[in-house]
Amino acid sequence: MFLVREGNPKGIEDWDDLIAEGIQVITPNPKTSGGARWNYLAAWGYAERNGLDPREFVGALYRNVPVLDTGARGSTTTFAQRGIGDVLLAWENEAHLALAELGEDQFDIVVPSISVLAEPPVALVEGNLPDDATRALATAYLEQLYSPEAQAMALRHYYRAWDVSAADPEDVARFPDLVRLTIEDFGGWAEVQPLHFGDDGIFDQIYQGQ
Amino acid sequence: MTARPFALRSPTPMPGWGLSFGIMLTMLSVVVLIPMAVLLWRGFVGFGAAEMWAVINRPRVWNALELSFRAALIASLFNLVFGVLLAWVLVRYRFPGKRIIDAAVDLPFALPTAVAGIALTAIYAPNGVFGAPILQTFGIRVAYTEIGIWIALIFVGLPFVVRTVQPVIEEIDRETEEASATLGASRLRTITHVILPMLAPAALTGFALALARSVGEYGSVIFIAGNLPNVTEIAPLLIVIRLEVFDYDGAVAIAVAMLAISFTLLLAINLIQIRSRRRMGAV
Repeated sequence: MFLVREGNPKGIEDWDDLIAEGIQVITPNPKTSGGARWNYLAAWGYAERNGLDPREFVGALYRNVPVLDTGARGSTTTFAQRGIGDVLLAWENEAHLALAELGEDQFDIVVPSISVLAEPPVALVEGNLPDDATRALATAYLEQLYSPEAQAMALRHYYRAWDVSAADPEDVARFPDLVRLTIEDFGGWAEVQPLHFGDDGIFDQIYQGQ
Repeated sequence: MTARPFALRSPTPMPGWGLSFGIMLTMLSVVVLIPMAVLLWRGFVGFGAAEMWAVINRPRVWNALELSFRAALIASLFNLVFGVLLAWVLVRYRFPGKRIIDAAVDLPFALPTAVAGIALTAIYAPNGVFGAPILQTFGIRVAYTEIGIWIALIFVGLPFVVRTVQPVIEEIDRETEEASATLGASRLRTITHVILPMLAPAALTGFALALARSVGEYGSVIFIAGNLPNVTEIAPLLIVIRLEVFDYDGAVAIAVAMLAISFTLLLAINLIQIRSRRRMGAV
């Protein structure tokens, strides 16, 4: 999601508005932040699907970034509290959180034409389970996460959960429909990580050209 | 106390030499020497000197190293001047709130540096209490530029010079200054030829400590720096970036480079210090 200043003074509607002259984009460093990798990939995906050279597009985007924080929350602070930048590339839930915590009269959410679907995995790690009691607790937690109640709670906090059976319909209605790319669209992390974010990868090359 | 199981002969008649030397060496090994040795081992033997050089010898790494050491030098020089002045005021003058200011000098030690970084960024950001007027009046941005890094490093290095120089100023006999005055020296000459030479060794020690501290500072700087590669990206951040992508060898290479430069700088400062002590005729 894009978070922009109230009233969207720079008229930012989609990814291609971000590379315009004089636009300042706030996004964290993909080398240190997981969310930032998704921001980067979403921009890449947009360029690929709109007949643009993705390398050039992403390079132009990062040339508009005045501050590279180390984490997504740091970027939210830079944009919302320090007043830096015209647009923040944020997790959907972070964007809503910023609106709820810092005032709906200060920012607007802009929904771009393409976004990404990040699904952080959760797993039991067999080797880290010392005894059966811990295993039972961990299993219960894992199962609870996907219960209708827990999913409703996630939806309430602006996460797009799967199970909407117990959720407040208002919570579900807050999510606009849009194209969401998954990591498989980019070839999977095993391919993406070294190609884009590895040493001398495409992200590093953006800054080597300067 | 004569029979010792090892061959080190006591160089002094003071008792307890073997025991204290043993404790010193053990503590130093566990805390400093062994971790450093492992770092160097991993760099030179595990990774290789040529490979390390390949990691270090890139524009982005050089830019980060240069920035880190330049900013640390600037901040420590500022702290050298300002710290001596602050110590002087704290020892020589009486004023209300003196105890509070004296205690406040140590606050940068007590505060988590991340807190300091966030607080300084809030104040010096373009919409901050100081940041806004500075931007309007001088057109200078402080936060998210190199100036912001200087400010953060000045903050973390402030106590060192003050605390090393303070006891020396307390020890100075006023009679020395009076003697200088009765011999016809002007006030300025008394300061430059009598006071400052006496303070120099302690001030240099404080300077070296502040420099060493600020070169490796990470927590406060990353919040205020902006972290743009080649512009405001400090070397410790490059190390963290390498760790984040599981490139431990690359992280070690940059760490070894920082270690080598720091060691050279500290050695140089020590040599200057020995010279200035000799000039003073002190030990």
